[in-house]
Parts: sequence; C-alpha cells; structure tokens
Amino acid sequence: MELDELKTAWQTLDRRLQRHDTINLELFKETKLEKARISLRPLFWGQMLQLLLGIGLIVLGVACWTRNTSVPGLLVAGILVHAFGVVTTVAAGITLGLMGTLDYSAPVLKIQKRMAMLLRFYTLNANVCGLPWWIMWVLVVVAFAGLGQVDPQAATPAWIWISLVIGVAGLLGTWCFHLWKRRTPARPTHEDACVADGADGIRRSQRILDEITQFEKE
Amino acid sequence: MESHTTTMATDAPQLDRRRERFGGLLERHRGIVLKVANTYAWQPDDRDELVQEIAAQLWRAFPGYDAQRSFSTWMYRIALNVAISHVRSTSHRDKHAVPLDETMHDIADDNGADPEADQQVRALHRFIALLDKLNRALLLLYLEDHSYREMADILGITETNVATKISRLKQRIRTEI
Repeated sequence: MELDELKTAWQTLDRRLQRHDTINLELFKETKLEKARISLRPLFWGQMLQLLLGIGLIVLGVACWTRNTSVPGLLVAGILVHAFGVVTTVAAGITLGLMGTLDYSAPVLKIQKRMAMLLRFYTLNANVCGLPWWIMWVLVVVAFAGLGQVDPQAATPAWIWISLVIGVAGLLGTWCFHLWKRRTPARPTHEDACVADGADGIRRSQRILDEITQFEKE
Repeated sequence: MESHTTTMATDAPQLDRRRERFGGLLERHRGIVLKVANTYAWQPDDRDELVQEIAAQLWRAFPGYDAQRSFSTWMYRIALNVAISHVRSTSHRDKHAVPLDETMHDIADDNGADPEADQQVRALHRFIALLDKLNRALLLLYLEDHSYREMADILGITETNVATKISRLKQRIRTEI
C-alpha cells in the first residue's frame, strides 16, 4: 500500500466518522463537561488532605517536644512527628506543584515527560508518607499523650513497645513483599493510575520515559 | 457581600460568553477531537469516553488559550495528550484485546457499497494498531496534511526530527501494509 492510498483511506474514515451516530455530540453539552471536569479532581483533594495532615503533625510534634524537653521518650517522639509532618507537607506541596504545572496545551512530549515525573514522584510520595504509618501511629499516640501531664520518672508502657515491634515487623514485611513483587513479572496495570503501589509506579513511569526517549531517538 | 454579589453578576455573563465561544470553536473543529479519538480508541463506548475526556480537558484549559495562537494547534496538543494518557490508563482493559476485525464494524460502510474503501480503512487501522502511541500522533498529523513545522510544534520535537520520522513511517507503510 502506498501513502496516497493511506491518505484516501484516512479521508474515507473521516467522512464516515463525521456522519456516524456513535459519536454522541450530547457529550459536548455543558453539564456533562462539568461532571467530567469534577471527576479530574480526586488526586488534587487527596493531596490537599495530605497537606493538612502534614501541618497537623507539625503542630502536634512541636507541641509535644517543646513541652517535654526533659522526658527523652516524648522529646524524641515529638521531634519524629514534627519531622514526619514536614516531609508529609513538603511531599504534598511538590505533588500539587507538579499537578499545577501540568499544562495539557504544551507540546505532547513535554507533557508526557511531566506526567511520567508526576507519576514517579507520586509513587515516591505515597511510599515515603504512607509506609512509615506502621510505626508513626504509635508515635502520634505518644505525642498526644505528651500534651497532658506526664510523670518524667514513669516507665514506657509495655503496649508502646509491643506496638513498635509489631510496626517494625509490618514495615519489614511490606518491604519484603515489595522486593518479592519487584522480582515477579509485572502484570499489566494502569500506567497513569495514582495508587500507592511501590515499584509498579516507578516501573510505569520508567516505561513512559523509555517510550519517549525511544521516540526521540528513532 | 455587596461587592461579592456584584462580582458574581459580572462573572456570569462572562462565563456565558466564554461557553458560547468555546462551543462555537469546538463545533467548528470537532473533526480534530473525533479523529484523535478514533486513532486511539476503536470501540464506540471507549471512543465516546475519550471524546468526553478530551472535551472536558479542552474546556478546562480554555481560559488559558491565547487567541493570538492557532486554535487547532492548541486543540491537537490537548487532544493528543489526553488520548495518549487515556490509552495508557485503559491499555490493560479487555476492550483493547478484542480481535481487530471486530473493532472495525462500527466504522465500516453500512451499505457495503465500497468494499475497496473498506479494505483500505481496515489496512489503515491495522497499521495504526502496529504503531506506538507517539508514532500514532505523528501519523495522524501527517495524514491531516500538517506541515513539518506544525507537527514539530504540536509534538515538541525538531522539524528535522519530524522529517526523519516521517520518512521512516513511509518506509514502514510500504513494507508493512
């Protein structure tokens, strides 16, 4: 087949498409556009919530460690919650920033690269800010406890140690699961899906970038 | 409160005007949306979904559209970006796994008056199916008779790069169809 024939085929297809009923022009109506527009927002609101959570953790952490400078356990718990709050806030801020600069009217390759970057950063964000909750919830409870009256001589309650051990075991278990998953052949997944799926997100973003690089080099 | 009400009152006609303008431009250039959707999605429901996604993204980006620049270039960029992302997010679905001939039914000539044209359309679709997402965009722009400069502008590559790729595409057309 020659190029001219391909162009003729394209024009035939164009004529058929123009008159075809299945392309529903109702879709262009305003109400449907608004609905579709709203459906694009979950990631934005998810990140806004993460931002608020981060700020809450900073406030809690600072309140805890500044009140308990003489109680080592509470001081450390407060500082860790504070630091984790900063990481959570910054990660949400960067994700929102990347989303905000996604201008679909920019050249195709530029946006596809930007989307791969967003996917990669979101995956990193989800792991860095999600996985530590195996342990962080204990520290958050401790930090809340540190806001009240505390006896500096009191021993650390056993439930805290038990919870921390379970948390560390859970964290290691999740990490091992990710390692195992990484070594098993990947099943097809949404390349642009924003889920906290560790290596898959990195792999998918890498695939997108590889595809772009390949196209640029060809 | 009063100033807020006044702002709302002045915003509403502005929004109406914007909608009207957008609706007009979209209607005039609807072929771009349909062709892009048809290049990346072949089943009617999938294609409708993609058309809706493209239209929504166009409306969303419309306030930032610079009237000094070409509307069709702006529209192609958005439509292609949305379509490529749509294919990525739906590529695993069973929809895309149906045999190719089945997907052809909804664009085939209903009265079967032109079997040769049908055959060419099928060959075109088979060739599109062989291409990756970015090369599909390039082929679409080429078949739409865009200049190399426009293609480079839409895709974000150099004109020389476009020329090289088009020449390789031509080669593939000859050998693979």
